[in-house]
Parts: sequence; structure tokens; C-alpha cells
Amino acid sequence: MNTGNNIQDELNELNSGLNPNSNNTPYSVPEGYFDGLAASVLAKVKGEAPVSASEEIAQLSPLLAGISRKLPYSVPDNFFQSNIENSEAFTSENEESLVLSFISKEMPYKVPTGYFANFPETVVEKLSDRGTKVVPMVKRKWMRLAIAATVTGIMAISGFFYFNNRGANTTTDPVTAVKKASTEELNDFIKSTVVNVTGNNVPVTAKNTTETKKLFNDVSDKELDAFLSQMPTDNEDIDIN
Amino acid sequence: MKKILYILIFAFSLSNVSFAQEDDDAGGKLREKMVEYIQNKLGLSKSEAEKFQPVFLDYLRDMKSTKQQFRGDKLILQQKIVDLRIRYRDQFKPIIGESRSNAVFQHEREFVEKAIQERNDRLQNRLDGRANKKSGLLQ
Repeated sequence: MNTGNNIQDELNELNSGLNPNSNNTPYSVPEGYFDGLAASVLAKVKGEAPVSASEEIAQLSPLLAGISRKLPYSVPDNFFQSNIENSEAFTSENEESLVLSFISKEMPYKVPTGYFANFPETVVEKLSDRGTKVVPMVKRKWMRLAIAATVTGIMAISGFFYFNNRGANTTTDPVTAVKKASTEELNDFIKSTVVNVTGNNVPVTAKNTTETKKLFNDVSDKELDAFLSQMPTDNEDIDIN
Repeated sequence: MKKILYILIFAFSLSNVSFAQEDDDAGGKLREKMVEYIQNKLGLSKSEAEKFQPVFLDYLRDMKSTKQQFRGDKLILQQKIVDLRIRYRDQFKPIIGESRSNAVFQHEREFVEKAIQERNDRLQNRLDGRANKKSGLLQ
């Protein structure tokens, strides 16, 4: 059974667009190609008929043979020669260059006469003359005075406030003030102020204290202060009981 | 000299940063203790406590910022604290009920008073300790 025919039949049944004659090769050899092939190859190997490069390229690729061999760019006549003549200063065979001839030959720096001869003595002399170098913290005199004045001022002002407050504290101590006040004054004050006399504060009992101690046992003073600063104080809080 | 100055400035700024970080969380332990205290006092169940805790911590955070914001005016501060409590009481109600929502603020005050008492006791103890030292030195 011919498998080629089977495939062909199947393609026909499926109405496929593929070429049913796939067995036929799409390329063909020119007529009489193989007739003279052996003779022409032998002739080339033996070099009986020498073929030039242009002829060979023409045989192999007519496209390449057809391209012009002229360069699209060209150098003007005597281009390099004229350039050399113009830049004579750089290409002169003479050792004295034109560029270098402009530069002065004098040394810009000089060593004083006998510098190196007397060098150790001068170093030793300088070292022996020099005492311990004093580096002032503040170079200017007025700045030192300004700092001294500022420090004195701060001390005076803080001292004034400190002692003043101490004096004030002794005179305006609430306990002393209440003790000094007359009964009439106290009655007037109580009448004019809203005072919580119901005693809502937690009474301090032994159990309460123990409970409190237990509650705050592992709490530092700093934490306690920080917490209380975040909560409303007695004055800021209103009575909610 | 300049190098030393730069090192000092750098060290100073670092210490400031660490202090600022400490300040941010200052009182955190006591806030947690307060929540626990109020939960015990109110007798909250586990599920109630789980819902109540985050709301109450938010309340404490708001209380802190309110206090900082209106520190200059006592009356306004009192008003703001009341507003804050009313707002949070409404949030507590669906979790723990109306009566216990009101009691939250009483127990909060109790806890603060206990903290004040503890601080005063510590101060007194310190003062007593110093006085005893002085008298011991004099003898």
C-alpha cells in the first residue's frame, strides 16, 4: 500500500489547502548540468583554464560582480603632504621645539643660599626657643568678657528667682495660710467655693494600702509620674460619682 | 577639636532621640494595669474584655492628647474631658452595657487616686529616709 496516496486521500477528504502533490520537489536542476560537471571540475582543479577573480565572481554572483568598485569618498590630492608642511613646528627634526621655545627656562622657586647646610641648626634652634604653645579657648578678649558676663547674669537671675520663690513659698504656704486665717474668713471662703464634702476619695485603710502596694509593686517612680501626667488631676477632673 | 564637638553633638542628639522614644511609651505599663483593674472591678467576661480593652486604650490615648492640647485652659480642658468620656461611653455601651459604661470612669478615677497615693507614699518614705540619715549623722 502506498502511504503517499493515503495521505493524499486524507487531505482530499479534509478539503485541506495543503499541496496534495507534496512528493514533487519544488526545485529543479538545469538541463545538462550533470553532463559537463565532472569535466568542468577537473579542468578547474588542474588549472588548465585559469579563471580571473572577476570572472569567478561573475560566475558565482552576478550581483556582486555588477557593483562598482569605486570608493564613495576620496582624499584630496597632496592632502597629507600639505598638512605636514603646515605643522612644521611640531614635526621639525630640530631638537629645539617651537612650543618649548616660548616657555621660560628660569626656575620659579629658589632655595636660599646655605639652606640645607644650616637646616639642622635652625630646626634645633627653633625647637629650643619655643615654649609650650598655649591655645586659648576664646581668642578675643571681648568674647571672654561677654561669656563671663552671661554666666554671671544667669547665676544672678536664677539665684534671685530661687531665693524669691523660697521666700514666697514660706509666706504663701497653704497650710500656714489656713492656720493664720480667721474663722470668718474660712466660712466666707467655704461659702464662695464649691467644696466636695461628701468624701468621695478612697479612704486609706490597711487593706487598701496593701492592695495599692501590690498593684504598683513593679512600677518605677518615673513610670508612675509619666502616667499621672497623662491623666486628669483632681482639679481638672469633675466629680462623676 | 572640631571632631570632638561633632561627636558631642551627635551623642547629645542620639540621647535626645532615645529619651523621646522612651517618652512616647511612658506610662504604658500602668495603662495596661489600669485596663486590668477596671476589667476586674466591672467583672467582664473574656469576650467582653477582649472587645473592651482596645477601645479603652484608645480612650486613654485620646485623654493624653486632650490633656496636652488644652493644658493652658482648665475649664476648656474639663469640658473636653467630659466630651471625650461621653463619646467613649457610647462606644462602651454596646460592649458592656449602660450601667457598667458609667462605672468605667469611676473605677478609672479610683485607679488614678491609688496611683497618686502610691506616689505620695514613696515621696514620704524618701523624705523620711533622708531625715533619718541626717539625724544619724548628727548623733
